[in-house]
Amino acid sequence: MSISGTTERPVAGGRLRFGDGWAGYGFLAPWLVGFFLLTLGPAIASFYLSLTDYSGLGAANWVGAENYVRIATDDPRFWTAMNVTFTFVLLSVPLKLIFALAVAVALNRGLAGLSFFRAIFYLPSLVGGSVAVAVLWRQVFAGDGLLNQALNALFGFEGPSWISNPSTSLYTLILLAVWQFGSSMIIFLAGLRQIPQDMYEAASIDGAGKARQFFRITLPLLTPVIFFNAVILTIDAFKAFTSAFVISDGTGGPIDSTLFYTLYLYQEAFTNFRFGYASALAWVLVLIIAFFTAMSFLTARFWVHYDD
Amino acid sequence: MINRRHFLRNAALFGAGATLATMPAFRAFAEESMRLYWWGTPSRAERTLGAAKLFEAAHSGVKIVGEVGGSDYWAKLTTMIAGGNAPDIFQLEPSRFADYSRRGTNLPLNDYLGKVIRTDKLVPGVLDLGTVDGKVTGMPLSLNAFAMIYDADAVTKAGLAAPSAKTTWDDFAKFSIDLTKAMGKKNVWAVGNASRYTYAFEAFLHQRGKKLYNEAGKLGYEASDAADWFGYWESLTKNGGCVSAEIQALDKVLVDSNPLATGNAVIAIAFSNQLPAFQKISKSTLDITSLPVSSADGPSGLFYRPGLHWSIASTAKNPELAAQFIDFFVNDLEAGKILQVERGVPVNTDVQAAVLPSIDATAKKTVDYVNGIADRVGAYPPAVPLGAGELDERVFRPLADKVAFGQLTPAEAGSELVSSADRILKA
Repeated sequence: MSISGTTERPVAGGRLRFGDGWAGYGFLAPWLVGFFLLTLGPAIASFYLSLTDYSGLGAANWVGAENYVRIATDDPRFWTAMNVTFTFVLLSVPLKLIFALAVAVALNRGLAGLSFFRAIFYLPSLVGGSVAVAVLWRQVFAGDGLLNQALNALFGFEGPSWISNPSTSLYTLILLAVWQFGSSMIIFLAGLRQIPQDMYEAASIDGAGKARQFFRITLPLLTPVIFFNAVILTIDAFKAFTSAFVISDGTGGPIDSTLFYTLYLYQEAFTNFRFGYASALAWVLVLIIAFFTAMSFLTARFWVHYDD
Repeated sequence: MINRRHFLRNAALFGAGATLATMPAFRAFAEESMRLYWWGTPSRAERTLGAAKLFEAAHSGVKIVGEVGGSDYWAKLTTMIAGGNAPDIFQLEPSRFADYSRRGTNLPLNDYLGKVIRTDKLVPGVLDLGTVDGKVTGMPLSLNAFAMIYDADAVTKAGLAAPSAKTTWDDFAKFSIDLTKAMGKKNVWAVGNASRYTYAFEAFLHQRGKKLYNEAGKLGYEASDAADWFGYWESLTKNGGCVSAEIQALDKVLVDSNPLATGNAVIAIAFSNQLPAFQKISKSTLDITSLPVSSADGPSGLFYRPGLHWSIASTAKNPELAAQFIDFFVNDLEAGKILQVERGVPVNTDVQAAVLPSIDATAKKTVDYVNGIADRVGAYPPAVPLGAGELDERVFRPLADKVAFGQLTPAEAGSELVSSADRILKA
């Protein structure tokens, strides 16, 4: 039966389909190689390692779920890191969205030199994640830094060392994140351009003021873009690393006040020789991010308006 | 047109050539490179590379690549070791030496000792300072001791008597408060907040007949000892004798970040070999003495310790060459003249004799100090357990900072230190 089945199919056609498929994969190869070797492979390896006591040096011994149990029950610094990270996410994401939207709306007013301002405001997004800017930030917010010198000159106010005071250090990092509002702003600008002008005309004929137009037309029609930006920014904020690493010299200090989740993960792996445990931390972060992204998509239907 | 036969033939030839190039005979002229990794001041880099140049000159075809770390030293070292590209030779220091060694990162040197690495001129007992679990896994490069480095000009100007070997912690607190008042400068205090320096705490413990870690690798002290230690510095901060919490939090426990170096203090509790580095930064004359003591006729809390170690990575490609380098570094007179006493007093007696007459006045102070405490030093403490580095960096220092910022009382910090140690050291 099966033999007759195969002989019924035209051989040439089969070979052709087969050949086409491989050509397609050939063109995909650079991406596929990258995906399997640099993303999927390490991801699988890290999941395996998360179930071991791998120290980075010796052999990896199977410990089952022990790492995950320890995260949940016996690791105070994990909760410190969660606290710092959630504070960072919950403050930096909304602030950045509001700021990016405000600047985008202002720029959308047909301002002269729009492309110039767009480029200027986008600049921090390009350089903001870099080590150089984090170093600069440290100088600005240090005890005898630029900010305190300005405060002193203008108001005679003696500011604390914002960076090395545990009650303010995290806020300097949030400020640094908000300052990099450029890419969200560009996306908002594109979104604003998509809103048909006749809606505003109709609204103004009906007597709606600027504020009403903004809340009744701009904001609802922009919700898909807001949603997109919010999801992207949330994921990025959970993964924030460079600024805290550079500003605290890798310690997450002072007193763990800037101990981002990723920084803690890095410390566990690379300074405390717990690669297995750090892998487990990484998978917990994946779950956290997946949870928040899923929640965003689930709630989206209640507030995101698609035009179609 | 590419002819397939030609292509195959050329490819075969190319492959053969590539294979030949890796064979020993063809590599004789190629350079063999060896990587050294250390942390420290630019002056250390200059001297270390100077000695490396001499070694290169004596071994044709060998190229030594020096890499200098800073506060990221330990993270980078671990990353390189875990990533399989450990530097061939790296620097360690006593508070982490055994921690690394017990993880199998260091090559035991026993097979090379007395052969490639000459040991006949070493100070007696020095190899014990590089021994963990019966194996020599690092070469002590120098001897140093805990020390107090102070700005002699500031003390004289304040009209105070300089601290001495008999100065107790209580005397020192009074001295620091008076000195800070006498200087009367904004953001300048007498001394840095040493509560977060494990080594200063270690001296404090030794004065009480306790230890940082005992032979079994457990804590050698009680929560109350730690509470007393944190409490001492808390009250000194409150009374204006040592730097504010914000300033101390910036210290990475490196020379450059010490409040004495940043101009926020005029006294540092540090290591004897660091005097020249501090002097290079300071405009005033610096002097050196021992740490305050618990009672004027009690133990000093000091002991001779290896300033630093060179260890060979267990994965080093050419351990023989690395061992030759260590021998050269420690035993060669010319190398010794370049290195001088930057890492501490040399461990080779011939090098000591050759170097000591030519050193400058500042370096001489450190040597005199190290020699002067000979009848007051105690025994070298047991090797530290696994996790000692983590306990220092991730628990002890943050706890000291929490006390300084007023987030914890000394007693709370003491008991948290002890319970965290139970958690971390068991691993």
